[in-house]
Amino acid sequence: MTKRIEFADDSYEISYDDGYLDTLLDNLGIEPAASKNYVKRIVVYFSASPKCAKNAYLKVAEEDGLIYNTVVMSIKRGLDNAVYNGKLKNIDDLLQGSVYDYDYGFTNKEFIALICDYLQNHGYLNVKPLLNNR
Amino acid sequence: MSLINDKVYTQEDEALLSTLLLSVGIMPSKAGFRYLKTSVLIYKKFNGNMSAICTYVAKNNNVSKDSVERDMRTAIENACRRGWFKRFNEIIGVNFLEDGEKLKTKEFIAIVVEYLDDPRSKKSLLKY
Repeated sequence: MTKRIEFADDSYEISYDDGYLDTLLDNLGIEPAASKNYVKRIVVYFSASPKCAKNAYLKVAEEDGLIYNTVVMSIKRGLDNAVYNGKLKNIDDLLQGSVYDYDYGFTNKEFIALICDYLQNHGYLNVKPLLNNR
Repeated sequence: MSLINDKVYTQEDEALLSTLLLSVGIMPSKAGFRYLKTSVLIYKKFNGNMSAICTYVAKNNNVSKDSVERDMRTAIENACRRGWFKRFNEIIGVNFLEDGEKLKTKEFIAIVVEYLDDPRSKKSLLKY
């Protein structure tokens, strides 16, 4: 799937494997579906603006006519569920290393950045900055 | 003597590098993670000159050189504080880091570069 997005003055073309990302989040136990959907979209937007996760949250909130906190809390709920159902530990198998913190889990930003980095490293997510014509 | 060798980093090497950084407690949510990754990949190209490396990374990310240096240092310090940095000993198979000992940015990058160039590295990380 290819998406064209704009952040501040820059535009980007992001191509990503939607099906793979969906399966990945399922395997990591992110539920309910609404949280998974937010995580998916935030991961895609975060890849274009890795310096500030808030931009990605604001973009998704704006698209759905919600406030910023609703998106943040929904993702947090999804992550909490993943911790409770024990599937978030699968991240160690995914990354082939000891990454999961059994004491603290992950913060929203850590999880999103981790998934984003993994997808980019394995060629499932590509970001192409576009020249601004304005 | 030039440090440049024939090694071309593949996507697999980048994934290995990410896993290594994650395993020692450097989280990708920090800017220092991205800067460290780029620095490791270009270390030999710039002959280990940290000033040139930081300038290059800063230019690529539209930030100041000081910011790059600080972010990388902070990322390593946070990993040390978290207590995961000791894993570095087990991963590279040499006991050279004492409890609570910190590495300088250049030292850390140089060791990771050597680790990546070693063909046995992937096996040792998987074993870990």
